[in-house]
Amino acid sequence: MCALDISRQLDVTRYMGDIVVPHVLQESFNRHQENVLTLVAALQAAGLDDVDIEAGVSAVIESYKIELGQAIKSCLEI
Amino acid sequence: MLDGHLTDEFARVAALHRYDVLDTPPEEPFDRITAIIKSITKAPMVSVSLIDRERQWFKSCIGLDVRETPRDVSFCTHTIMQREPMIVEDATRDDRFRDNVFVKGQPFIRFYAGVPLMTPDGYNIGALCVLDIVPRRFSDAQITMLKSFAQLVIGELELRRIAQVDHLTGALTRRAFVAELDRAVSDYRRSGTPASLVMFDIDHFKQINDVHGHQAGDLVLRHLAMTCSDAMRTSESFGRLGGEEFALLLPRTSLTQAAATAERFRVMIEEMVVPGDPPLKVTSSFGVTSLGAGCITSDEVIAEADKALYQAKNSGRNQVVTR
Repeated sequence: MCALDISRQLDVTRYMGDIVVPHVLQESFNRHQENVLTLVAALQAAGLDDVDIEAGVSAVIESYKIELGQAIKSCLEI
Repeated sequence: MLDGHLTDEFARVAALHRYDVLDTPPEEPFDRITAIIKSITKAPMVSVSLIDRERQWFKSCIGLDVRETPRDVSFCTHTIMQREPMIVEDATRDDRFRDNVFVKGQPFIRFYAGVPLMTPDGYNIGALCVLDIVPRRFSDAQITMLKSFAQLVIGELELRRIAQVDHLTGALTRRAFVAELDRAVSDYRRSGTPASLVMFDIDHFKQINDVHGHQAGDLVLRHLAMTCSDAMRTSESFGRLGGEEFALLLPRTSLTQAAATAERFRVMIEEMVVPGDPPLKVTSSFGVTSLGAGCITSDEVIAEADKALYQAKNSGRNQVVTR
């Protein structure tokens, strides 16, 4: 998987469907996207093949997605 | 500026405690990260290690059978004293670690690579680390990779912290506050540790919104929250349970002591002046209860404090009622 494909996965609509990330979480969300892109580059530089990179990064994105969903729900509670 | 953060131990521990992550169960996002690192590095031990005052506690840990160790035998306690990763290629050749109990005994650590987990405000609260029982080297690329994973760990912690805090007032959200109360209830059931709950509500808050507008109402909420936060002890928790309803959880506090604290807060709020045009003044009504025989679940404790609060409202407001 190339960095461009990862960037597409990181698109907010792919993260959360139609849900808009609240302002209070936006900075954290942006930072996560940047960190994942940095990680992809680091894994590539460490010599990992595309399949391993995709597996690792997808797992990281998937768990963040779940946490982000819970955080959004929590932000909307009060 | 940042390097001062490395030596300010009190602030560092406070930063760690703000995440409210110590002694929580294992969670998938962290376990996934350690599992991926283990798979990539082929190292037998990987951990997300958080350095508390006197101990090292693992949020995620592969290859070690413990959840925590004393801090003084921890490699990571050295890592958090620096900004850059700490690499120990062979612990038996390092004066700092050759006599370490985990080097001389199980699990016979020889290699350590740790990246500080630095919060956005510059405190190293722990380290993401890889350990091996044979000496080894990490390439620059592997170190960079570990740094990237460390950023993701901090990102996950930060996301939880943001979700726990009501962004208008900085108080805990209802969900996060009830989680704190649940912990106090568990402590009470396990060891009889007392705790009290103070619930309070701003009197006639609707009138403030109606007469002065919602911005003024929000300013009152923020000002009140700031006043309360400044007056709290670090062991206490402060939450916003609903619109203008707040709560304080007072660990190791009897009902009598809690009533005295509530009275102190009542007076503080009564004397508070919210700057604006015109400046605003408010009062609050308080309900106080303690964990005890009839109050052994979070719901029961909240219901009991709520009854006391209702009584305070019905008895003329701006007063403290205990139950």
